[in-house]
Amino acid sequence: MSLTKKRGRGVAAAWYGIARTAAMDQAGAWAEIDDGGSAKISTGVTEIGEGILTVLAQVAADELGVKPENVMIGENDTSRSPEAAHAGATRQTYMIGNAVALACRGARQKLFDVMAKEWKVEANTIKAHNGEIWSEGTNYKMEMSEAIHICKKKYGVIPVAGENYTSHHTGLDPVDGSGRPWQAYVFGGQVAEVEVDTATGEVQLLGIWACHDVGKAINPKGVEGQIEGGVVQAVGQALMENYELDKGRTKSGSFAKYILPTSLDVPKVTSKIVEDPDPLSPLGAKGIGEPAMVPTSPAIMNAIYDAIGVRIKSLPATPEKILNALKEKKQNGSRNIN
Amino acid sequence: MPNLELKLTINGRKIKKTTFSHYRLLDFLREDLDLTGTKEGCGAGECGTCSVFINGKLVKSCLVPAAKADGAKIETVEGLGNPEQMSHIQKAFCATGASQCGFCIPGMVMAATSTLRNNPKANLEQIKEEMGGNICRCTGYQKIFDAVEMARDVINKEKSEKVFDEYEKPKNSFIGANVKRIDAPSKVTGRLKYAADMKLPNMLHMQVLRSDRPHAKILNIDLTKAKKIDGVRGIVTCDDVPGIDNFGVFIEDQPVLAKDKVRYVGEAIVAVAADTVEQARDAINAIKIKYKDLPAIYDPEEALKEKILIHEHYKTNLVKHIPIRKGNTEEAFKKADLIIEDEFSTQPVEHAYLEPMAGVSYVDQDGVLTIVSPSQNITHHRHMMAKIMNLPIHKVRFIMSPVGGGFGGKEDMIYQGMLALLATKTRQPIKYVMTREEDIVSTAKRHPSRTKYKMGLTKEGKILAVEISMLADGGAYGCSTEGVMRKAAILGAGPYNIENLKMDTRGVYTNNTPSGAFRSFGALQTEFATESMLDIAAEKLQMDPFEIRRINAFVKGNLTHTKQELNSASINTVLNELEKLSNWEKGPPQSRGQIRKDTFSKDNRDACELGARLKSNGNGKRVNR
Amino acid sequence: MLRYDNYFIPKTLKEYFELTSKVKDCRIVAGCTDILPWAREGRGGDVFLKNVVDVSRIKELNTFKFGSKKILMGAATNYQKLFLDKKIRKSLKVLPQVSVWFADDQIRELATIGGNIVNASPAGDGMPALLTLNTKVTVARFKNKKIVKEKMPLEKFVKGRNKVALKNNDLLVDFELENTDGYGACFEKVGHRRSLVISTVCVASLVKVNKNTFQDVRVAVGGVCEVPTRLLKTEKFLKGKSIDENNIYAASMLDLNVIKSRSRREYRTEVLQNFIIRSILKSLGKNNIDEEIQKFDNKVKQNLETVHA
Repeated sequence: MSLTKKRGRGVAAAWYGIARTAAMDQAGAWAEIDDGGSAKISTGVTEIGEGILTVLAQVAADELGVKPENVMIGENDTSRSPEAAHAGATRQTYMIGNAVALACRGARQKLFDVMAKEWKVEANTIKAHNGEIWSEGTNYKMEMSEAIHICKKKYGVIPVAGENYTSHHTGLDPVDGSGRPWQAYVFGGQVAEVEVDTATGEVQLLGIWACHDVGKAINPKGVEGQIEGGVVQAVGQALMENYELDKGRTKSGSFAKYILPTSLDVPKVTSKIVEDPDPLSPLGAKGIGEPAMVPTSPAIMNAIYDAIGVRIKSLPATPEKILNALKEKKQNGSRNIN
Repeated sequence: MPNLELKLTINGRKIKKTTFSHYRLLDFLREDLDLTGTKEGCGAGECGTCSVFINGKLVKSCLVPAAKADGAKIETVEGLGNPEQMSHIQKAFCATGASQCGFCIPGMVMAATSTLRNNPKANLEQIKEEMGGNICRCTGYQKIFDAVEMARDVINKEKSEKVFDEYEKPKNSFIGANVKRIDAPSKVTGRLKYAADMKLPNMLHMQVLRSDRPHAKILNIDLTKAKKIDGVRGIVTCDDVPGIDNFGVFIEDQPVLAKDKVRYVGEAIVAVAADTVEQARDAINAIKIKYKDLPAIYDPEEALKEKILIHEHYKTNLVKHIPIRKGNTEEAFKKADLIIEDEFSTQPVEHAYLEPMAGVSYVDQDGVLTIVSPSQNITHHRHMMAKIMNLPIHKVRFIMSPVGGGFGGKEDMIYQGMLALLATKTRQPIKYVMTREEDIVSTAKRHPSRTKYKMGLTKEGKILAVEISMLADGGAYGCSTEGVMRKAAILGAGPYNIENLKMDTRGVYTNNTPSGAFRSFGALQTEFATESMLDIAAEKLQMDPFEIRRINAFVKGNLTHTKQELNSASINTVLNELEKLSNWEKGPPQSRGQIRKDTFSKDNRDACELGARLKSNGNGKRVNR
Repeated sequence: MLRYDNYFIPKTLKEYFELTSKVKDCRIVAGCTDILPWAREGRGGDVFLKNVVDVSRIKELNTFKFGSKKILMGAATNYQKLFLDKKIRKSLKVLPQVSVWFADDQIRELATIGGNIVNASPAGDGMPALLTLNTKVTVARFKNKKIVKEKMPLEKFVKGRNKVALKNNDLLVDFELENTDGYGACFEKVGHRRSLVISTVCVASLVKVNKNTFQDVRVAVGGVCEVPTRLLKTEKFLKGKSIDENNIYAASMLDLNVIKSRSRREYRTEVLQNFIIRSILKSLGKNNIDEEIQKFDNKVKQNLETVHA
C-alpha cells in the first residue's frame, strides 16, 4: 500500500546538427521589392507549423527595409518556386533564411544603387528600415513606396534578385565514421520536475526548464513555441504513447488506444534562449525544431529516479511500469529495474 | 441518393437542404456547405478538431448524425469572425503565437469560446479542464492557454485591446522581434484550406485496399465484382505503373502498390477511384485477394539472423550499419575507475499530426501531372514521381498544400503515387483523404530502439571510453532508416569530449510497420541512453549531475565523435544558464527528491487533480446558454 | 463508416413502441458517442444499418425530479447535466466527480447515462457511482399492445460484459437514485493520462460519519471485472467501526479478489487497494487532506514494519 505523491528533479543535456546530415545542403530564393514598399519572396519553403514563413518575412523585412506584414511569400510549388525544400533536419531557418537574406541583399543593392544616383550620394550611406529609406548624414529620406516608384518608373530598374545558400558538409568515412556532417551545431539542456503518485504509478510532469542555443533567435516567441511543442511530444513518448504491435498488427490503431498528451498533461515550460551565433552564415541563426525535444525524456527519467529511486530504462514509463519497479525495488533493494 | 431533408440555422443563416441520410453533421458542414473550418482529425470524438456549437452547447460534430441536428442553431468557426474582423479570442490567438500548423486551431478557438462564454472569469486550471477534449500536437498548449487568458482579461476589461497588436521588437531590427505569425489569421478563422478541404470540379474519390497480413505472397487480385460497382471510374494495381516502381527517402525500395508480396499490415495493394467515397469503399470491400502467408519477422534480433529475408533481392535484412571509431576503447576501459553497463529501449511512436494524410491530383491543360499534398519534401517527391510515371521532370508538378503537422511523417511519398496513377488513368481530378486509422496503420513510425551501453570513467567523472550499440527496427521498408542510423551514431554519445569511442548503429528490415523520419531522427534514442548513463555514473561517483556534464562538455577546438573540429561549443554556457534558470540545488542524483529544497518551484504548473471547476467557478457564476 | 437508410426520432414512448413494432431491423441509439467511434476500421469496420432509432428526445426519457429522498433522472440525461446541476453537486457529490473524468465537455453534452449503462462496458465509469447511490432502473416493454414498466436494481439490469436485461424493443426509461445529501464522496480513476481516457481501475466511495464512527460506507469498483460491483465485505466491515487507520487498512484487503481481469492483475490489485483507502479518506472531507493521507501512509508503513520485524 502506498498513497503519497513524491516529487523529484532531473537534468539532461543534448546537442544536434543543423541541416542535412553528411551531405551538401542547398537552398535558393528570389526576392523583389515591390510596389507600395512591399516585397515578394519566392522559395521552396515548407511551413509545417514551425513558423518559418514568419521568420522569412522578418528576414526579408530586415534586409530590404520593409515591414514584415508587407512581405508576400509565394507558394511552395516545384514548377513555380526555386528549390529549397525540404522541412526536416532543423534546416529551414538556416538554409532558407540565409538564402532569402542573400537574395534580399541582391535586390536591395539594385534599389540602393538607383537611390544613390537619385540623391547623388554614395550607395553605402543608404539605409532602409520599416518602410523608410534614407541616406545617413543627409536630409534625404522618403517612404519605401515612393523610392520603389522612382526606381521602377524613372530609372526602369526592378529591384529583383535570386541567390543560393550552400552548407558544406562531407560524408562519413565508412570505417571510422570520421567527417564533417554539418557546419553548425546547437547545444541544449533541460531540467524536469515530476510528481509521482505512488498509489497508481502515474507521473505528472509539472515543470520543464529549457535552455537552448539557437545561434540567433529571429523570432524568440517562435523559438519558445518550438521548445514547448517539442517538450510535449517528448512527454508523450516518455510517459504515455506506445504504438504497440502484436505479430505485426497494431493494438493502438486509433486515438482511443494511442494516448496523446492533452492540455491536462503538459508541464509549464520556462525557456531561456542562448545565442552563440554561427560564424559561417550571414544570419548567424541555427535552429531549434528537433533539438528542443532531445533532452526531455532523459530529464524526466532522471527526475523519476530522484523522486522514487527507480530508473526506467524502457519508454514509455507507464503507471504499471512505475508501480512494478517500485515493488521490485522493495523486494530486492535493487534500483536498476526495467 | 440524398433523402434527408434538413432545416437548420448555421451561423445565423437559415439553411434548407437535402443530404445523405448517413451523413454526420461534420460531413454536412464540410461537403454540402463548404464550411471546411471544422475539421476531421480522427472521426471518433478523440481530437476535438470537429467542435461546433449546437444550440449553444459545444459538441464534437463527428459524433452527431446530421439528422439529429435538424431544427437546431449551429455555430461554426466561420461564424466567429473572419481575417479582417476577428473575435477577441481569435485576436488573442494571433497575439500569443498560439497557432503553429493550425489544424487543431479552429477547434481550439471554439473550445476557448465555449469556455469563456460559460465561465467569463475562468482561471487557468478551469480553462485547461474545459479544453481537455481538444488535442494539439504542435504547440504544447502553452501559448493557447496564454491566448485564452489574454482574451479573458480583455473581455473583462482588465487589459486593453492594445495587447492584441503590441509585440517586442529591437529598436532598428526585425531580427529578434516577436512579429505575429503571418499565417495566424487564416488559421484562427478556419479559412485556410488544407488538402482535405479542397474541391475540384468533376473530382473522383480514391480509396485504398490495404494488406491485412504482415508477410504474404499475393497470388491473385480479383477485381470483377469491384469493377461492376456503380460509380467506379478507375482501379489501379502495381501493373499500372509505367516507369520504375520504387520510392523511398534514402533507398528506393517501396513500390507504389504492392508488387508480388506484401511486407506489412497496412501496405497498399489496390486503389479505386469512384464518384463518391462510399462507392469507392464498396468497391474496395468487393475486391478479393488471395494470399499465401509467409513466415514473418517481428523482432530485429531475429532479422539479424537472416533466416528469412524481407527483401530477397537485397540478400540481407540489414538496411544500414553506421560505425564510428575513435581512439582505443579496449585500452581506455582498463584505465577506468568506474565501468558501468546498461541497456535502454524506446518504443515505436506515431507522429499523430492532427491532419490525416490527404491529397488531390490532376493532369492539367499542358499535360503536367500535378499533385497537391502536404508533402514535406516536394523536391524529392517530384524526382521520384517522374521516374515512376515515366515523365520528364518538368512535366511533374508538386504543390505543397498547407501542412497540418508533419514531424517527419509527411516525408514519405506513401500515397501520392496512387493519386498520380488514377489521375492519369481517369483524366479526372482525384481526391484522397485517409481516415485516422488508415493513417496510423500505414505510415512510418519513430524507430523503436535497443541500446547497449558501456561507459568507463575516472573517479573525477571524466569519461574515458564509451561503447554504444544500437539496434533499430526499420520495419518493412527503408524510408529514412539510413539517415536515422547515421544521426543516431554521430550524435549519440552526447555533447562530450570523448577520446575513445566505439559506436555502432544498425537498422534492419522486419515485417512491422515501417519506421521513418520523426523529429530528432535517431539522436533522441541514443542521447536518451547517454543522459541516463551519466546520471547513473554521477550517483556512483557522488557528483552533481551538472558537474559531471561540465567536466566532459565540449569546448571550442575539441574534435567531435567524427573528428570534426568545433569552431564553437556553447554547452557550458547552456548548462550554466540552465542551472540558474531552474534554481537547481546541487547534489548527487541519489533519489534526494524528498529532501531537496528546489522542488515545488512556482514555475511549475499545479498538479492536475481534475475538478478545478468543481472547486470554484471563476466568479461562481456559470452562464447557462 | 456507419451507413444507414433511415433515422427516426420518436418523441414519446408510445411513438417509439408503435414505430419499433412496425419497422423491423432497428438499431437504438441515444447520444451516438459509442456507435460512431465503433463503426470504424479496427473495430466494427464498415457498418450498414437499415433503421436507426434515436431515443434521446423521448419525453419520458428526459424527466428530472429532485426529491429529498429520491432523484429521478431520465435515461437520456446527458453526463454534462450530472456535472453542472447545482442540486446534484450539493447532494450527489460523487456524480460531478465521475462526470469530470468522463470523456470531455463536448462528449458529455451528447453522451447519455442510459446509453452508457446499456453499453455495459466493464471499464464504464458511470456504473460504479450509480451503484453507490443504490440506483434502480425502469425498463419499458411492449406487451399485448400495452406499455408495461418494470423497476429493478441496477445490479440486476446489468448482467455481464455488454449484456443488459433488454429484449427486442425493450427500452431503458429512467434511473432512480438515492439522495445522499450529507454523505462525503470521492471518485478515483487511473488511466494513461489525465483526461479522455479508459479506466484501468476506478473506485467510487460514499461515506457517512457519526462522530468518530462510520455510519454508512459504500464502495464500488470498475475496470477490474466483467461488471462493476459494490465491495460488500469492505462496507460491512467498516459500518459501525471507529474511523482509524487500522480499520480502514484492514477493510481495504477484504474484497481484492473481485479482480477478475487477467491482464495487469497485480497492478490493478495494488491500485485498487490504494484507491479504496484514499477515496474513503477523501470522502471524510477533512481539510488538510494531503497531510491526512501522508499521516495514514506513514502510520500504516510503520505498523507493517513492526509486524515484519
